[in-house]
Amino acid sequence: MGCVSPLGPDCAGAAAALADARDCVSPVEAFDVSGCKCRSAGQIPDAWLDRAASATRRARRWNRASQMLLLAAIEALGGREDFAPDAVVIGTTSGGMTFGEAFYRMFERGARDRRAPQWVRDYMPQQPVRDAMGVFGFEAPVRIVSNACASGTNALGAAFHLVRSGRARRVLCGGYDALCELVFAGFSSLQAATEEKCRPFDAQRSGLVLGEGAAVFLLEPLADALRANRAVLAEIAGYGASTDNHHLTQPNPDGSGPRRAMESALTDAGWSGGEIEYVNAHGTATPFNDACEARALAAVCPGAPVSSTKGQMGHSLGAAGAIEAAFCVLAMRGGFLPANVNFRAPDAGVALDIVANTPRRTRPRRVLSNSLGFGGANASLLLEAAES
Amino acid sequence: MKARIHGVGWVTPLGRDPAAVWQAIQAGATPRPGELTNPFTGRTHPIRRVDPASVADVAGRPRLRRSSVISHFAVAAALDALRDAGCDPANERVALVFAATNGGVIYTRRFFEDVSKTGAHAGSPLLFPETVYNAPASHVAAALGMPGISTTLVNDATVGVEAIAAAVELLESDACDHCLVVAAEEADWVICEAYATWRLTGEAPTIETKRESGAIFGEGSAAVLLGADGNGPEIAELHSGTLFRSIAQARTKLVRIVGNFAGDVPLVISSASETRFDEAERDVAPAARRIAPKAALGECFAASTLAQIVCATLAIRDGTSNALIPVVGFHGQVAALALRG
Repeated sequence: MGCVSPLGPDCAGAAAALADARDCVSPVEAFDVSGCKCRSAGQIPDAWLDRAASATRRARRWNRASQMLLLAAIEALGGREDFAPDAVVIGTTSGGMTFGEAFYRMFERGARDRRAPQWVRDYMPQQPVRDAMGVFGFEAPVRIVSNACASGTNALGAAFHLVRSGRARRVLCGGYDALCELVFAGFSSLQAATEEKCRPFDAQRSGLVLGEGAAVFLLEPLADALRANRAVLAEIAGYGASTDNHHLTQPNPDGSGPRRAMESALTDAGWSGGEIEYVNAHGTATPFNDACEARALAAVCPGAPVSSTKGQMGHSLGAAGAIEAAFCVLAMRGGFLPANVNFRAPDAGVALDIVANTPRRTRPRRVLSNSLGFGGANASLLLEAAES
Repeated sequence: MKARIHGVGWVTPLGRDPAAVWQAIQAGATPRPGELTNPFTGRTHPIRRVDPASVADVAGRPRLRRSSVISHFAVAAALDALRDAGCDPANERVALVFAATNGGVIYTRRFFEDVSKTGAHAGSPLLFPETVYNAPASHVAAALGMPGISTTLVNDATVGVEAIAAAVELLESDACDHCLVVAAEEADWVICEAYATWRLTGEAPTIETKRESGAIFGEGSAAVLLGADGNGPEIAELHSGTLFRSIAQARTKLVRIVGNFAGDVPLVISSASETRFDEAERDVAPAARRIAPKAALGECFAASTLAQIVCATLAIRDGTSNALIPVVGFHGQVAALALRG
């Protein structure tokens, strides 16, 4: 497993920031946000991404998205060059969009730019995956899932089903997204982004902040890993998805969309909702999302401790599901429940056990990670702690 | 288990009726292209347009009134594929796999145009939600009343084959009774300019001349409804995208992946679009009859791949025993699919 996020350049850094309940959201400087209500985001320092160039000098010219994905893949592979995947499944929403923006602005400026062919190539969602695979010499079929903010969880779920069905023995999967002006402006236009702190599930929550990052997992059948005496970090036990046809950007307030995804995942795993010991919620801190998800959680796994880690690092869109699955694994291995930071008061009528502001010391064995996206895309992943 | 194609639909520059469009393709129709103009440079690009009247029945639906044409195309083709199969999503578990290469590029360009001109605060909240790749899938699911699994896949044209692979997986896992695979694309000057930087666009090429002078882009959609059993062409072979670094390597890889089933294939539905990538298909079943639908329909990326599959399905319905569908993507992947009657 590998993860680069605003919480840290690797899993160890993220685990430390989670254990400290650190708020890693900072002012945006990459582009002009002066006209926007929200002016902050969870961002990855360029200095962390510079490390990508140590793997290949070409990475200096890559899009930040490619650099993030490569760093996560390097950590996940951890020197295991023998892990040649049969398939690669990666989620994203925006690809290398900053290069698409540069391409458009070239016409506005009225001057051709010799970098234009590279911008075209590198803005496409598959290019960061090709870049990272190229470093390792992988040639497996690539599946790019783009189900908005559920993409990362969908990618892990699809990879899980590929392995479980025997269609693939080794899958490299995950998600990535890098902050870009188009998407920042998009959430600003929807008035979904907040000018103050991101406060998931809080009574006074006022919206999300964006984030960025990448997480990559190596999946294989448990039996294969045990036979080869490889360390097992966690097991994926179940996956479910549903579509909420209520509205393109707003969930059905009754929570039926995420509820069906969670129920489907539980059926897939053969678990009951009462067995869930921690929920890493989608929890964007928008009024509609959190109310809908809270209703669904109260129905499916009442009493389970819940937190959203988006208060700490923002919403990384297509990467979110993969990064949050990594956080779940870190929580199971580290013996804590990540905090729901910036929480002040519970929402009236929402009966959730929020892990408010401070991590809770306990070692969850069965956890649920939710992702809900535009287009009514809902996805739920169930993870189980590995046997020692 | 093998999946079978139970229904097909498409929206093309030649119309929407499968039999009539297929006949026109076989007859070598090459409709006169329209034009898209880059407003900054005045440069024009030929484009194979869909007649808006052909999707008027879906464009007026409440959910689609503000959406871009890519969603109109997707919903129309999806509806036709379901009707063709006699499938009602209200009575069956129908999953959806949507495939795109460029996606909702018109609203994306328009949204960013506003942002770039006026600032990040100036984007339209009506446009932004339609810029996400899965917006058309969302509209299809809502229009057809499909609350189950919906997945949007993105890649070069080989994503059409990957979408079929994903659908077969869903059927095999019993996650659905049918799986609807839809691909759609819309045309915008910025996409033409993008591929022009790779020297893939043509001024006014025709495939018949074999000049490889560049593709004419198109717009439209295609859809196939897959089921686990019953009648209809069978997905006999499927090879997901594999990477290539040169045309020569693409040619070798394509021959290798189709090797098992290319020997006796009477028909190849080609992905040729009069670019240098056409060379990659040269050694694929050279004795077979070859039809290149992009001559008539334009280069429509993911939608073109689904349109190739629709063509093969219609050929098999007409009596062809089997057909081979090679796909060469502009972004370095080759894939292939074979259908058997």
